[in-house]
Amino acid sequence: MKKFKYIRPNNLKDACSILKRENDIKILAGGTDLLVQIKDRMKTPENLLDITYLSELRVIRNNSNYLEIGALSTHQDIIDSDLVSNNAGILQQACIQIGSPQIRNRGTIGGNIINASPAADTLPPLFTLESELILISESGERTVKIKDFFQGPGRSIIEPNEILKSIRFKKHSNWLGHFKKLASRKALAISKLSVAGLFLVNNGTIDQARIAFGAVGPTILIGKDTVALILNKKISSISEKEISDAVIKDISPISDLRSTQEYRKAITTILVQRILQNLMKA
Amino acid sequence: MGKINFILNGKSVEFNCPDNWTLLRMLRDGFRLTGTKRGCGKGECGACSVILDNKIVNSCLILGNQIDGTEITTIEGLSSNGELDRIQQAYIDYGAIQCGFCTPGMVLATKVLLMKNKSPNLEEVREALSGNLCRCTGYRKIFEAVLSLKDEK
Repeated sequence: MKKFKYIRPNNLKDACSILKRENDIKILAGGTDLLVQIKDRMKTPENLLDITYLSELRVIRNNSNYLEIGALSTHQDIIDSDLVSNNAGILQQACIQIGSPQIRNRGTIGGNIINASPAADTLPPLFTLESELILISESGERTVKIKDFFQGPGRSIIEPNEILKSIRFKKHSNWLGHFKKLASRKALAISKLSVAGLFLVNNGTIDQARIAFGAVGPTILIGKDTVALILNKKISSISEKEISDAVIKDISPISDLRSTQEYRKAITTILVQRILQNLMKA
Repeated sequence: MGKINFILNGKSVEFNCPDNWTLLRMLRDGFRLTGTKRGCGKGECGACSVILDNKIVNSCLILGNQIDGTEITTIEGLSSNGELDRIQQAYIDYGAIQCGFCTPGMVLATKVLLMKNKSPNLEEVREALSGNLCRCTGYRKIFEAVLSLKDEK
């Protein structure tokens, strides 16, 4: 690996001031993506700020309305959390399917967000939960809606002197969530595409719905047409053709090394159909 | 960063680790513990797996300096007084080793599984070893070896 200076801050305040002071610095928050990018020389920072051990950013807590997940919570922390399973099960469904036990023990939800891959598995669930991201710098905190955060593959509006502190969303204890993804194999494979759907269902009718798609656009896409189609309808009354037409309007996949445009369109439609079938069984 | 202190296979050690060395490199080049293998170097194959504070991790995706104050177990730490761990013996008995390159990581992933779950079923074994790739045996004998260690109580 190319040489860099390893810096370990004592606390969050310390981390913010180092970040403001140093140029050419990257934040290490788990390292399962960043260290690979440094080895491949896609990123060549002079300084590496290791925030992995800032325990103040590894807390999952709630108040009466909100759940707040510290950015340095690992995927395994989220899988093990009762607070998450009771209030945002869809996020757990995604974390369980990430990488491998080794990756889930080190990779963090904050790292998954900041890496800003359109294929990141935690992102579609976080979109359906209408998450807010809390960013901190030496000059203070700001809150950004996740739907306004990403600009393209690997790009977001975070400033170089900011750290993602936590992710916050309303509790969704009565909602039914489903996350489905397709990859070449179950473990250790990046998603070709993914779908998250979060619903309030009453007697077979969809009262509220949020759908988000991964890896079928430059960033996560929100399923506007699909939601408009299914809202206030009996699930059993929606035809496969209608679903397919709506989903294809919502997504804009490309062909790349992991899949083709045509395949992504076809399978995204099928995953949405399967999610709706699961809802009928519930 | 200066000297780090940690527990390596039950012994307290210190090391002056270059900033850009991974834990994998520190174990192999610094401590000459070459049982930990370098496979893909990208967290995809699990050949470099070690146990860090009772969790299975890829040592190729951790910096040496990051393990200051932690406890590491490598494959060399499993046997005691020349006696193999019962997991190692089961891998031998069931023919679960062919070239052997993935074996240290597989055995350590098995160790962590059995620490948490004394009687795993096949699905749980597959899940626990899903971060470790083997290109020789096709996994069946590996799973049989692990399942033979089930606590039958």
